[in-house]
Amino acid sequence: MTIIELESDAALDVDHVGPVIRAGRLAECVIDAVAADNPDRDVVVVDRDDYVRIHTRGRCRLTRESLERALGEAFQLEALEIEMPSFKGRLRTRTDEFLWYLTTSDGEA
Amino acid sequence: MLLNRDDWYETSRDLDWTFSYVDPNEVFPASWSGAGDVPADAWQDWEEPFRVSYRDYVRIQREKEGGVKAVGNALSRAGVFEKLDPAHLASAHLHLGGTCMVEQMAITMQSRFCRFAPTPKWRNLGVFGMLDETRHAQLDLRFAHELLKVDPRFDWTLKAFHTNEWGIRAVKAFFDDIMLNADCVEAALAVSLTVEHGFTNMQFVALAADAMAAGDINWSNLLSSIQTDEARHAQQGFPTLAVLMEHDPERAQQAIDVAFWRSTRLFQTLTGPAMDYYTPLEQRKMSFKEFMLEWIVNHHERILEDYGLKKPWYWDDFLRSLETAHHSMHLGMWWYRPTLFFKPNAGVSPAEREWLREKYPTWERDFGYIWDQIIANVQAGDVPATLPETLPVLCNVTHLPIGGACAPHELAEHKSEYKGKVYRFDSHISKWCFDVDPERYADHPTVVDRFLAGDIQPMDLPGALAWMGITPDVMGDDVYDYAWAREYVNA
Amino acid sequence: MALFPVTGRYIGDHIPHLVAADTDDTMDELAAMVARHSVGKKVPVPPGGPVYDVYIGGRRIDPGVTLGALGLSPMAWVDVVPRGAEAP
Repeated sequence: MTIIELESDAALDVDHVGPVIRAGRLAECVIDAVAADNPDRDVVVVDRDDYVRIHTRGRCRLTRESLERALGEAFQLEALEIEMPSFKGRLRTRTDEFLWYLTTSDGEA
Repeated sequence: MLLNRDDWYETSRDLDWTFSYVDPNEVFPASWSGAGDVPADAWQDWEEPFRVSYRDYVRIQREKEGGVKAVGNALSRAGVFEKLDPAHLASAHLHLGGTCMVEQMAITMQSRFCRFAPTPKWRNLGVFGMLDETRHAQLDLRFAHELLKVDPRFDWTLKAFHTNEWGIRAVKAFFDDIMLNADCVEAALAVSLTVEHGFTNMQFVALAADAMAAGDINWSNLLSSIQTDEARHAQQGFPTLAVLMEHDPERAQQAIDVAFWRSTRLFQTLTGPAMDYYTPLEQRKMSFKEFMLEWIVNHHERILEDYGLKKPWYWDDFLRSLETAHHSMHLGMWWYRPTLFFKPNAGVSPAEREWLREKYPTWERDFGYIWDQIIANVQAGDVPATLPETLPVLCNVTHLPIGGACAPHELAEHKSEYKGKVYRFDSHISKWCFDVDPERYADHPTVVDRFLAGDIQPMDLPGALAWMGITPDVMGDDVYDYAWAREYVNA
Repeated sequence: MALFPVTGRYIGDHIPHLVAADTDDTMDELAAMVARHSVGKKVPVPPGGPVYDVYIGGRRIDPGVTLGALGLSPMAWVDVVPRGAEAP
């Protein structure tokens, strides 16, 4: 697992899924949390200054536990929405976990 | 022990009752719900991807509002607006005039979901969608109101949809149809999925990035804050799509193929010029084409495919249109600048032209000679030769000017006859949209149809401008007074 | 003699225009009306001067024929090219 920062999205695979977060501290913490929550996948980050794509291939987990650890404070995942103008993939939201995924990706397993 | 949301969510959301005194079909008429041939119990599988409870909603929206207000207050004190590049301002004028009242129309659409959607889960989410859209319309109005004292064009935030300005009529033609006159299922496919999950990202996230770079922090923040609501409530479309793919996939495919093309044409008009011509060169993050490839091709279309939809049948033509169609639209809009309520930037100074050539390898061949003629006329002091003397011809589906929807050199006649009348289109794709559902478009006259029917008097360009509500204080003109053309003198 | 609007496209311009012609207009007169919105404005003046051919449905129409004699419907698509240029 590696965090890969892309200069452009040229290398972004169509099967990459995950949140798009407005630039700022929360985005940095989401990168760390997604890295911790998806140990078997590379985390691909596309930074467009104003918004940041944080994606993994086929399936991207984000847990409350990891995000709170990265932020160093309590955080309700519902509040992610405040800084999330978009996201890529199907989504499933639960109190302790947001999951972005595709059902037809070879990276989905 | 306190229950967490997952423990009680389904109980609260699924609250419903069984009708015993009235026929359920009278409570939820198919003409409003759009349920069609989908069996009633199929909607039990409807499961929203993005869960929302009222308590969380209020807390989160309050925080969003606080953020927008704080940024706005800080910037108005700093006088940031007065320092913005005048070319960039056209993006904001066009956005507010073109979309504020669409947000208002969306309140009606979401309230239809609240009342008539075929499952209580969806009706529940419609409540939040309705509140979201109320927030968006009000945010736009407040933002514009603050700026009225420095620029009368912000008046068009409220006013535009009460005029007959041609571009606004094109926006209205689309959203009247898919928001105000669509049943819940069709609105979910056309608006929630196609517009909100797809195309609004171009304007509210990608263009917001350009606006941020251009120093318009307040407007950029407003846009992306609005899109945080859109991203959530757009998700109403996916469980609806899942049900349709199970029970009526052809209907889903057709509705989305039509909405995708109509959205493409509209955003080529709204977002294309804003990104590639109005955003100051140094601040452009990417080209319109690059953003379309990121947000529509890579981001949006892949998710639809995951539900089993095919790419629209005209996909290759759509991709080709990304090279040229918005350039043609921009050139037309600039040429017809007296019909706009904002000042467009021509955006073809030598440096800007170099950028266009680099981003679009066929730009020079397709449009360079036209701009060269315009530049020659400006340099000869003949600005009147760069202004229109008649109307363009409008498409009976998109209500946008006919001209180079796929490629400028493929300009050709596309028409259909229906109930004794001839209808004209900007492309074979718009013609297909008409042919599969002619009642939807027939007898909705374009500005040109009105003109020919004698509704616009006197029958000349000044008559048309007056009919469109264009007043001297907002009438469009070249934003830099042709300074870009004079840069070519020694070239 | 009656007002007869057509969709006039001068080859090389990126859009066609609404052209308010008359049933009595000859093809030469119609061509000039179409060209007026494009030539010297969005496309260069052709080397042979302002003389044009009209094509309708891919067929060149004789310059002396009047618009009213063609049996077209209003807003018919009319292509205009410099005289002698190849068909659009």
